[in-house]
Amino acid sequence: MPDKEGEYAEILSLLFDALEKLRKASRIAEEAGIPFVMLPIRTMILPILHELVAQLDGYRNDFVASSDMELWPRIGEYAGGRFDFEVKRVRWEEV
Amino acid sequence: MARPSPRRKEWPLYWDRRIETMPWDELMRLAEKKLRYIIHFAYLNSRFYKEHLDKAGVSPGDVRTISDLPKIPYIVKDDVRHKMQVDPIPYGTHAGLPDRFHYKIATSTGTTGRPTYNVWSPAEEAYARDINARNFWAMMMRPGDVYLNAWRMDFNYAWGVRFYKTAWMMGMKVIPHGSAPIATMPQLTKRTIEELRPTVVGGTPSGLYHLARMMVEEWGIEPPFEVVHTAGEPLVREVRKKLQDIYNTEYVFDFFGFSEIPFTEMAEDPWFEGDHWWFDATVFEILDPDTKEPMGPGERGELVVTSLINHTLPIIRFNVEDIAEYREGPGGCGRTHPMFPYGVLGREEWLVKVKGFDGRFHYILPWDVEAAVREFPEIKDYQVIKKTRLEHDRLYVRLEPVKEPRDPDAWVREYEEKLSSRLGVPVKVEYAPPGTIQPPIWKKTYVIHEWKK
Repeated sequence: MPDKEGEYAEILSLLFDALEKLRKASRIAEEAGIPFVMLPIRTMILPILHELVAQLDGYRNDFVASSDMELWPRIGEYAGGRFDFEVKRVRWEEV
Repeated sequence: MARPSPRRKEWPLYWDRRIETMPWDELMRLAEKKLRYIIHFAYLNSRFYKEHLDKAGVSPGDVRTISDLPKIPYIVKDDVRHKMQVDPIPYGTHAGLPDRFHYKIATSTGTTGRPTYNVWSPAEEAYARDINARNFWAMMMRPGDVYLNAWRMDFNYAWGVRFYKTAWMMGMKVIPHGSAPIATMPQLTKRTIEELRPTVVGGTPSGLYHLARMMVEEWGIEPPFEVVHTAGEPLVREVRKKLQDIYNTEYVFDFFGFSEIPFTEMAEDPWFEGDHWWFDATVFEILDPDTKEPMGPGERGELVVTSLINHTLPIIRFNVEDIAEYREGPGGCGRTHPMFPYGVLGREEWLVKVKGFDGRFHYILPWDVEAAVREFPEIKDYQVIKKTRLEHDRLYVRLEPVKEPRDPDAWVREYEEKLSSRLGVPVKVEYAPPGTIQPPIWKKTYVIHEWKK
């Protein structure tokens, strides 16, 4: 019988590594002016990775607060900023 | 039944073994932790929920467990509509995240009135795809399937596109057919099925029943589907049997979702004990329709839900105004989450209260009529007519025959007698000539609310 929890932990560790590398890649792409790399990483790949991490790491639901929203292209601002406010975060560990 | 292929069972039984089989105590602790988190989040970020809790004199810390939830008054769709029209449009005071997080926009189906806007962040959408995949997997959809997506893909509708992406993520080939061509361009549907031989089809029970009849009676083609999954309307068990027979597969499944939450809440599996409700993603309560007191397993009442995922538009104690009952897990499949043996039974406003021949009041839902009507192949379609909000002297049913009877008056009398006998209440039949009840482009109109006119 394989050690499933051990496998979960190993997958999680690899995904955290991948998240770090992708964040770095998207920042470099942004600075170098390469949208075709920067945007898919931020709009598609990172949200999926965050979801996988949230599920594997105890099924947390603070994935929005922990995800890379600072990196998200600020499309909403072009709509007039009707819903512009600072997000107040809740710490998963404290509830 | 010859199909479906046994090779489907070579895949792992669960999409996510750890959560689907989590011991109930552990699952409850997880759900309640998520509940505390999301109530705090909504209170801090959504003006609507802050005002709602303040008005009720409840602070977020007062809700520690699911049994504390009734401290917060429930909301209904009209509350959502109302706050949607409050400045700033289109989300009013509801929004829990600023618009730089807003990503996927859709509107509700409009089943109960003016559609409402919904919006989600990329992380919520990714999470939603995962829960939808959990449902698709339970319903035996597998990589390599060819999926005829017959859900609405238009009218700002969320699910068709979301199911497309879910199936794609799972490794299926997806045909973005939509629901409209089945009613408006049937030759396109026929050609698509004949030439691409899809192995999975998804749509409403009424839409897929209509498709099944066309395939068998008009086109004379053998249905290629191994998996048929339905939502959007209750899957009446007699209709399931008909669909299983016509489509020649036992894998005809029910699942359920609603527009305010970005994933479907529950789905059946091949054990057919009920729809598994994913308690790590949404918690539910069943309330007595009269007293609004909490009800237990096996009791039929109103479904009230709290999403543990929604951040952009939080959903806390939302009365879906549907009737349902649940039972506790685990099922024979090993999944520990609660089950809904009949799925969702129907809209609360579809209930008709009629005094029966036994002197007692009966609460009739369209699926009771459907079960009776489907015993008679000479009846093509039906609709229930409501004259008042709830109580009626008899049940009014509009019936459409497959072929024009020689004597429509005698036909009406015959079916008044047959349906009265089957349903145990007096039935008044209104004759609908062949072709007058329109096939559904999406959801069938089960009930005509004359009392609203």
